[in-house]
Amino acid sequence: MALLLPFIEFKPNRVAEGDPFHLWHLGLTWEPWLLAAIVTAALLLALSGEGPRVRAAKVAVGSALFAAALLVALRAGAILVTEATPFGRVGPIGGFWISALASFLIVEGSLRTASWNPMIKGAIRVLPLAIAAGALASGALDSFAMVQEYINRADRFSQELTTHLRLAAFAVMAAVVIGVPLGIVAWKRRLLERPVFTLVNTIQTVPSLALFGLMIAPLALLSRQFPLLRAIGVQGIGAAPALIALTLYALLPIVRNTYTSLSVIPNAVIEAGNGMGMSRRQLLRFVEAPLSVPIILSGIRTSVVQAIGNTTVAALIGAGGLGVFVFQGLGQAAPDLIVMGVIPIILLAVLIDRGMALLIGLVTPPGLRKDTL
Amino acid sequence: MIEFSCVTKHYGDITAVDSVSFSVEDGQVCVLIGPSGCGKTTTLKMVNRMLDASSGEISINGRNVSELAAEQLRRGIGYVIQSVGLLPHMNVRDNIAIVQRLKRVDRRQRYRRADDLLELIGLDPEQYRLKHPHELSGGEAQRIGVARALAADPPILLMDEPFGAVDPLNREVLQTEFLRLQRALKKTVLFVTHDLDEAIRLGDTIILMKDGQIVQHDSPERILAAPRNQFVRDFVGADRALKRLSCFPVEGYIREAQQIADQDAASFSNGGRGPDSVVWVYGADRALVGMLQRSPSGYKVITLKPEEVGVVPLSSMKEALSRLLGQGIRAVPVLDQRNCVVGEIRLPDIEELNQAAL
Repeated sequence: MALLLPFIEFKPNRVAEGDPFHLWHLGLTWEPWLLAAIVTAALLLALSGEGPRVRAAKVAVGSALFAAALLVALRAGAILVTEATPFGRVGPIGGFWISALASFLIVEGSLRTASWNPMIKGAIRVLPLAIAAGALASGALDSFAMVQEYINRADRFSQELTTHLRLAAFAVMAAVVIGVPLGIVAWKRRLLERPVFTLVNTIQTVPSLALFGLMIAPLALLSRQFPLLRAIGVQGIGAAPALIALTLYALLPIVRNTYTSLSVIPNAVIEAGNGMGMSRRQLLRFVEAPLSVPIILSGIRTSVVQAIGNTTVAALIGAGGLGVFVFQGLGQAAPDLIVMGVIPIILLAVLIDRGMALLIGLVTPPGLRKDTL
Repeated sequence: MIEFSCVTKHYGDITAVDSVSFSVEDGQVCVLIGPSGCGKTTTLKMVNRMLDASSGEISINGRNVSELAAEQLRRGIGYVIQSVGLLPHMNVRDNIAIVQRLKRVDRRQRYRRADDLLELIGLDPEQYRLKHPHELSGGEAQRIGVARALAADPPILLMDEPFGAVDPLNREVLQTEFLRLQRALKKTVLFVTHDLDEAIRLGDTIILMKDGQIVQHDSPERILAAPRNQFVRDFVGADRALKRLSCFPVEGYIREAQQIADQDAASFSNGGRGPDSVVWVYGADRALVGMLQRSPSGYKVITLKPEEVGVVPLSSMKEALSRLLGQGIRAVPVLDQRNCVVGEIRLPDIEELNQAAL
């Protein structure tokens, strides 16, 4: 498939229809053959059973597959975009993406069962990103449509990236400040458990676009009524409604995990703690906190990743963020611009997710690690 | 000494404990027993103020517990519960040392104490101190629970059905362990159970409760021999003769045993002894491996598993009898910690003990 589908497309300018090229019609000499050889090797490996050696070979071939696909795309870009087509640009399509996906599946599938040092595993996983980043930094990818879009907006990009991160971070912090006590209250006071969960669950079911929209009217009203609020920047559109909506979205995982973390502490442990003469504070320090913090953190992890995604929509009500590019791209029928906005969002989400996983691993006491991993 | 005088506990309209008075002497084990809902656990929990009495007075060495700060009081009383409640995120050593940590004893001293306690309860510190609760069996976890209660060396122990969740075989082992510890440590123990055999075996005195009141407070032998009323008679059951055997540790009835090394077994000749006597066979490290049995062609060795046939000096005579009947042999070997035979228990002695009561 990787070899048969069109591999790359050429557009004479930004909005023109793309012209698909097959791997073999690009006018390249040896590069397609290299790719074909690697694909063949991968197929052979797939048939050759299990074992540590096969696994290592799979990882090597899988990584090589991505590198080769990228190389072909680079070379193709250099050939297709010439002086004669100053606004021309290339974009990877079917064949390239299937190669990249296959590379990911082969490498990840083999790593999952391998018992190697986590550091080495991590390095292998980061390698394709590093290669892509290297290619990007060297300017070799400049003929690519996405990169073209980026180059035209470099300043704007870093500004919106910061806005995006700031919105998501503040929203999650606010959600922690509200959500953790809410979870505790829901656990301690049985009467409040249902209303609290009904509320946060309901919020979660409101489509994000609608929630952002719903914020506009009441906040605009407040802002008109109270000059003080207006002075600190509260308006119907912009950062304030976005923050509120994002915070509301971030609540559910935090409230739910806080509640769960308390409910899974065995009664016997609490009774033993009391019976040994722990004060309220000591019970929190020696029993409740160590047992519940990892679970609460994994709720925050879910919230952050969600918030990074949801913040995209915040651009619609003028709060900024990487969503700006996505909606610009939608408006201008420029898919490459959309992709340029979406890829950093995905990368951010994945990065933060891994980072949180690492942190959770660190704060989980050794005796509990078995159940959580 | 723990003293209850006219202690009552109400839950709303329900009276869980009704004007109960008794005392437990220093170094004695007092067992609270009765049907569920009789108030035995409530009684126990009022001592360390996990529950507060509605009226009446509980005192420890003359000091009224309601005048002491609950946390301080509890740190001076060992507390063992059926579900153990080890802190799952801490290793065995930190679990044992937790009360001392609350008391701000420094770490080196705490850890040394934890190792000592592991030795005391018969678990190898090297092997166990860094384990986590999920790696322990039920019996091991309960032992650690006892070690934790003993860590700060409290004079008083409260034990709330500590062996109730352990399988019967392990329960007997833990009871024996408890008797051994109690002999060495002489704690003042209040012990709740619903298992009469356990009460008879472990208790210096037994308090039988019903509907929040004490029905009979007596020594195990007296409870069995002289039940005060029909309720006690029913509770004790028809097999009280058998139960009574639980009162007696086998150590008082050990007879000398005849034993022989396994390499000499082939050339054994019954040197004029009665045909019914048992000859135990030991292996290289003097540990029991089997017994000799007469066959038409002389004697042959039957292999035995020490842990299945043997008892220890602190086992009860009831256990010895059940091993006798279970294995279908004439005597039960009494073993030391290395499974060496130190003597035997014979059926006639058990019968005689039983006759004496009737």
